[in-house]
Amino acid sequence: MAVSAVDQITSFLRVHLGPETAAVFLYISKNSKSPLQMIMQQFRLPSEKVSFFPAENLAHSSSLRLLKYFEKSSPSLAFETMSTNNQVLQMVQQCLTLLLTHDLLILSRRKDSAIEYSINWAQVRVLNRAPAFLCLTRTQLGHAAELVIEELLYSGRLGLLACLATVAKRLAEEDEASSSAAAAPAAVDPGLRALNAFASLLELRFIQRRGSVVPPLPVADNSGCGSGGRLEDDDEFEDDDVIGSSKIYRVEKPFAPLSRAEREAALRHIRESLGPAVKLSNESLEPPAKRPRVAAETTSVADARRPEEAAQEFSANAQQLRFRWRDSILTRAAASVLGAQASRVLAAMLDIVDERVRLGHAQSAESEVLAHADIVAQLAASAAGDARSGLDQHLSSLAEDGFIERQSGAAGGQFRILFRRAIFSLTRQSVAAVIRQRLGDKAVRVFNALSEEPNLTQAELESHVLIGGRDCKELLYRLLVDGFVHCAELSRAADFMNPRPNTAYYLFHVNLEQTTRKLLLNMHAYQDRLLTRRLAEVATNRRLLDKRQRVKELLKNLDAQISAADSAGNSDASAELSEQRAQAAQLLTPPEREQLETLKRSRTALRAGELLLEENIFLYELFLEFASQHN
Amino acid sequence: MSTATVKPDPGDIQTRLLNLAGQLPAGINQAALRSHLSDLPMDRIIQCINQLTQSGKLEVLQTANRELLWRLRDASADRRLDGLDTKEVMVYEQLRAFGNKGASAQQLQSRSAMPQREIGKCLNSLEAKKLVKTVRPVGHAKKKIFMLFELEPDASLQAGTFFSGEGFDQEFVDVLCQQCTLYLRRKAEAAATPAATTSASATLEEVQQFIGQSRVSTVALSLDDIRRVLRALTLEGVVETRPGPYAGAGSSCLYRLARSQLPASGDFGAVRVPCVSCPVAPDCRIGGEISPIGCVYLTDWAKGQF
Repeated sequence: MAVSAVDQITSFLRVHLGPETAAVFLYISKNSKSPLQMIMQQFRLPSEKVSFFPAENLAHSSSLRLLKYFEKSSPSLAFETMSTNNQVLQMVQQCLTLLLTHDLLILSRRKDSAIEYSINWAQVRVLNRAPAFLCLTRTQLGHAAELVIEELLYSGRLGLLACLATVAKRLAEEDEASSSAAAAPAAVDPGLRALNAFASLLELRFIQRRGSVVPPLPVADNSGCGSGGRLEDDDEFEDDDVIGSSKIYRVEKPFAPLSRAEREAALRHIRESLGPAVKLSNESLEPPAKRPRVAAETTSVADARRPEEAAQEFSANAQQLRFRWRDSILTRAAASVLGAQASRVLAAMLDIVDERVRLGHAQSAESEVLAHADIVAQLAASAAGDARSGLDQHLSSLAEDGFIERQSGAAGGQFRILFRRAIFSLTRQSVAAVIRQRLGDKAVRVFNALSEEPNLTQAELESHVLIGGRDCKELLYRLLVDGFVHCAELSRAADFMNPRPNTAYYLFHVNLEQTTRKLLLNMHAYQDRLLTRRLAEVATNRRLLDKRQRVKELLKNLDAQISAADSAGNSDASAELSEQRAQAAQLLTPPEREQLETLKRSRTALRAGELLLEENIFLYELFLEFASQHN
Repeated sequence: MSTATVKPDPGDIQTRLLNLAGQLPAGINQAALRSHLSDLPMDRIIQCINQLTQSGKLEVLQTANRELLWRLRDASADRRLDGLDTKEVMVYEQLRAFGNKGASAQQLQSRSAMPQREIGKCLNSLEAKKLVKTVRPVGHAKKKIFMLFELEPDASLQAGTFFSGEGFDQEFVDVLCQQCTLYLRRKAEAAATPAATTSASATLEEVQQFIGQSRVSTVALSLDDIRRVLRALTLEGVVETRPGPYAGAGSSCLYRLARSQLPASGDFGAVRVPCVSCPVAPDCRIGGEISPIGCVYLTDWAKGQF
């Protein structure tokens, strides 16, 4: 795992969940399969208290400083202020709860029944990819769906009411900020938009129902630790008292649609949270259903409920997001090659496959067989009905380009989507694009020639690609140095012990898997550089950004005061406030505005570059996944 | 009674040898001499054979088994060989057998069992008399192949259409590539719809005709030459092939301008990120002399991108 990924996640945890959780995460990431006792060892108080660290250090401590604290075996952060190891234990348990809520931990049981904690790096990867997933969701399902996914990704798990209330509030604020007063009444109900988006995401399996993570039990003071005391014997702690996998309930039907009761409860809650200004839909309000108990209120292990009765929360379904991203890549490739109509046909076929795939379905090289009639029906049901004309031609084109395969010709034909072949082809073309960018078009000729006909000597290659000897040699060696082609030595002499250049054949070939692995590392490095540059630009212009924020807040306050004065009919106050507002607007000088504009363009470009690289990284990971399955 | 040995008349021996050579057009070997002229002493036979060879009535050959053959020399035979000694004639006849593929000095030595020095002297003499010439094969500039002066070297020895006196003519090949691309682009633009694959495609013969009419080449380009150029463009990703109906001799597929399978100017284009093609990327370190924070490539890219 790239260092930057750990730093990013640690920063994310520090901001959203607190520095203590970030510290626990860092420790477990460095020490895989850590039981609670080992984690406690890092935070237990010594016999004497250490000096108190000022709060400023907590706010600006970097992950490296946190790690330094561990290395010095000195307690840090909020653990500092604790006087008993009981409090330390509770804090560690709460941190573990939060990490489990975000699916960042994997639990395993040792032979002695102790529970060990390891980092779930796959979920770390998901969180690092959050911007790409949000972009994908916005493209496919709209802005409201994007906000729902954002809330669930960054909160780990959320209840229905909490999630919808937050999203509806954000939508209402955006509507208020962007639309004029005249247009406001015509805006669609933000609560309904949020609810519909949520229901769509659940139907498409972008989100799923999850059980709640039961919080840890408080440890009594008379357990032997005592206030101000010190742990004499770690064996007094039993891991079963704290987070265990049995406490995380599994839901039988993770994609069950929202019931009418849930929808009504959600709309009611949204109205209560947003206020009467927001109109509700015309759904009748039945007597409120029995309010589900919140999991945080559970205080006894013996009071554990069955999954159906326990409060259900929702989380983003990372696997479905990955599959959808893969489908998006394939449809865009088809669109660029064959046109929009053929792309819609492929999208319809992918939708059929998606409906048939069950949870836990592994990445398969080919899809199930799809009948011609099913494809026609799916096109008719979707908004791509016009793609039915010329369907056979589009299917033939898709088959020619290797996206699908015709299995039989009966009843219009049966088809299968070739995921593996398509991903392989796209990967090869992506690598060729990198070569073209670095070394030119002629290098692409050499690469493709060796891909199609491996084990060629330099002389044979020259006649294949029609490049002169000197140029061909130079290109070949540059490709060899950069790892795009590989060389095998075949000795001509009987003496294989001392091969010399003039007594050996050198055969060149392409090993796409090896090349892709190297490029993957490079892409991670490039992404790291773009991120570093973006953060550095923000740090350099921090003073200016803070000033802009203060001016914005000032203007917002003045606007509120002006509107209050206008509604009270106080024109003098309104005029004075308007004048103050005009002066406040001048606080940012034109050079500063230009600098901010440049910074905005730069950050947008860098973020877009990171997304482009992330997509390439995803493609290479898909390729390597398929390649490892094949091996 | 005196038994004096009657020496055979040399003229008779020569007549008998010529008659025997006429009966055996493939040539007389030593076995034939023993069987047909057993009554004559061998030394006299050999003496007469030498006389006939020097007078040009017989020519000496050597088989692959290094067996000597004597054959009647054709009256219309090449008079240029008059005045050549036996060894030179042998070397000349061996080169004639190799035809337009020629032979190296080592090959001649292995066939004739003559010392290398002798063969070298014979070849120099024949070259000076313009009976033999030297050819340097493609890819082996230091190797010498000898062949008869009037013969054209075989295609395997010749450099080919894309070679000039100075070697591979890259500029000529690039011009051919540009012309082929231009023709296919015109075909694509003239096609009614992008999906009209047939009208947007061209056969090998059509491309050859266009190249011929464009007069970019002073020599006539064969179908194979055009195929190699289009193959190079296919490898470059500029042209793609499609199976087509049989449209002419040697042409079983259609060629058209490639549509890139990656979305145009990449939303899939990580290649747009300057780090991918940066010449100093391997030396770039966060905190180093070359670092992303002060990188001018990133600055220019961010300014020009959005």
